[in-house]
Amino acid sequence: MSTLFASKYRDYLICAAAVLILLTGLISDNKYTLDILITMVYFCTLASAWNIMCGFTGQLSLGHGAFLGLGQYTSTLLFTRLGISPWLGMMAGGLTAMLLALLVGLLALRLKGPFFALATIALTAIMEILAVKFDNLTGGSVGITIPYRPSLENMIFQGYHPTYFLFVCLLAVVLIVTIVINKSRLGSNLVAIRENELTAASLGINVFRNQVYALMISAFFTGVVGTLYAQHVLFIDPAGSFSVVVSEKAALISIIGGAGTVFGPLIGGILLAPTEIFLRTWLGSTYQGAYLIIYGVLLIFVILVIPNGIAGTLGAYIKKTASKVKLQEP
Amino acid sequence: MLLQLIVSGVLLGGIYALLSLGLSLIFGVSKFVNFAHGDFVMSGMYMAFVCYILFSLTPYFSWPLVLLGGVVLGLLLFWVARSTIEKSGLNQILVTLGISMVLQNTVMLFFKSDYKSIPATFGSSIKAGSVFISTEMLIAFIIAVGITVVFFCLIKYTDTGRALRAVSDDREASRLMGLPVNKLDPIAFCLGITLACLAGALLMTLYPTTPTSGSGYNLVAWVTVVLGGLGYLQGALVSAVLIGVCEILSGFYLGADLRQVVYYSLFILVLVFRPQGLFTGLSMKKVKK
Repeated sequence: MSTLFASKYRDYLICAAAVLILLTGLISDNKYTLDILITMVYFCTLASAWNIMCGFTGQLSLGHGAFLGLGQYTSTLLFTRLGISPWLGMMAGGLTAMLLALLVGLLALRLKGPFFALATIALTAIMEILAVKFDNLTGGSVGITIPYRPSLENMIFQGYHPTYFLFVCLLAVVLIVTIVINKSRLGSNLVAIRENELTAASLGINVFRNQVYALMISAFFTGVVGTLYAQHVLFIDPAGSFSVVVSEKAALISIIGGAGTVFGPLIGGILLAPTEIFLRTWLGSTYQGAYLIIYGVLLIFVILVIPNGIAGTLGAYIKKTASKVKLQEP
Repeated sequence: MLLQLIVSGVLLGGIYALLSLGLSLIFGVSKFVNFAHGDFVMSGMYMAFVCYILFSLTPYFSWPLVLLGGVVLGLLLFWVARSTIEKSGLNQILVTLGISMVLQNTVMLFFKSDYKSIPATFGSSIKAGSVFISTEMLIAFIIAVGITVVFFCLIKYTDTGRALRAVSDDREASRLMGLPVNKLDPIAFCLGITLACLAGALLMTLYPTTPTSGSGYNLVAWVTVVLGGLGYLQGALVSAVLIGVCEILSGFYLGADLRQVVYYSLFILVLVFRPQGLFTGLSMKKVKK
């Protein structure tokens, strides 16, 4: 077992185990439980997609809502206007998000730290305003209701089980992509850039190009998960799609879980999303937004006390104890 | 018509200047990236609102209370964020993002999310030639200019102000010259946040507010500061007026809902092509004896 655990397949094994555990949720017949699980996996996936770009490169994007919303609007408009199946729309949404990422990356990735973050926030704001403005295409601020016509082709299902299954599959894909990137040359380049950009550049790593690639991959999955979520809630509107709050949440879940680690966003999502739903129902509508206070305090706490997040800190701790054991061995 | 629009833009810019001076000061002196600046403006708006509800004081009279609140909030911000000063900018963003979430939602907890406003004290508008000026706007502008002048006098002629400018110029060198940099940080934070709150109180006389209106002001403040050149106080003044005029003009010619798109796009372009800002030449960089 321990050799298996130390092998190069360790991350894949953990990923498989996590997916299997998540899939046991399918046993439940309770719609409410399933809804919570879906939301949880949605945020895990979103945070994981965010992590591909921002966790590994250390560039903070607070504008993934732009990619999410673009994916949602692309697939939904294709579906409601032209009757194109969301399965194709999902890919189209991912690709348009990727194109936007290319554009944004080419412009904004020259910027560092706060300026990149600001540019992404401005981007989300611009997208939201445009979605409201071009109302004969997008339905304006009222949003679009997706007609409830359950069928496999329409990616709309009667029960929550297929939706949940789909979400877990997508999460698995994103996690596997993260693991592959983490082990690949791109991943090493990205981490090198994060740790010391100047050194990375002087070693011949093309900082700009690597970051643009990462942003495009990240945006693609953000767009895809957006489509899935739109087909689940059957409604999109500019304020909800191009939302800075959702972007912030993706960042926050990732960072609290541990940005730059493969499973950090997963841990963050599993911990935070149910907490959020619980707090929301418990506090009720009279104290709307109160859960965000707790999110905020948590974020401040994590940054000030354990800046590597839960997974990062745990990982460092395990490594430390492991090296201690090794030292005592001979 | 054009003249009318430009005059309105300049008046709006005067208030934006107040809003961004604080941000520029904190960034300049402490190299601290404050992403919650707009939420402090929003807090100022709600402070003015509470003063109106409780003591029926309009912002013209309740400003000492708002000023006091600003000092308290500034100290609070400094206390929370003090360990991230001189560290990675990302952590500063994230901490202030957390603060912004806390502020926004605490306000929402107490005041709900609907629009709050203070009824206008002066209803009429003044006619100067062919230009109509709203009295509220004019008074807010005059007060904003007044506060700005007082602020610049403080920065320019007092010892603390000189020290602040020195630290803003070169933090390490100032420390080596024996300036108490660690004591100047909280002063900069207090001054900056107080300016934000006062700007909020003034804005309260013009616009209604919700707990989330802070994010909009946050972007305005950052756009202004980046356009003016980070940490350059005079640059912020000029670009604030530019942003105000730009907002009013594009609001008129392109429609009210597109007015932000113009300066957000301008912002991204400036960030990409001239990240040092447009008006850095205007700085009072030399620290005079």
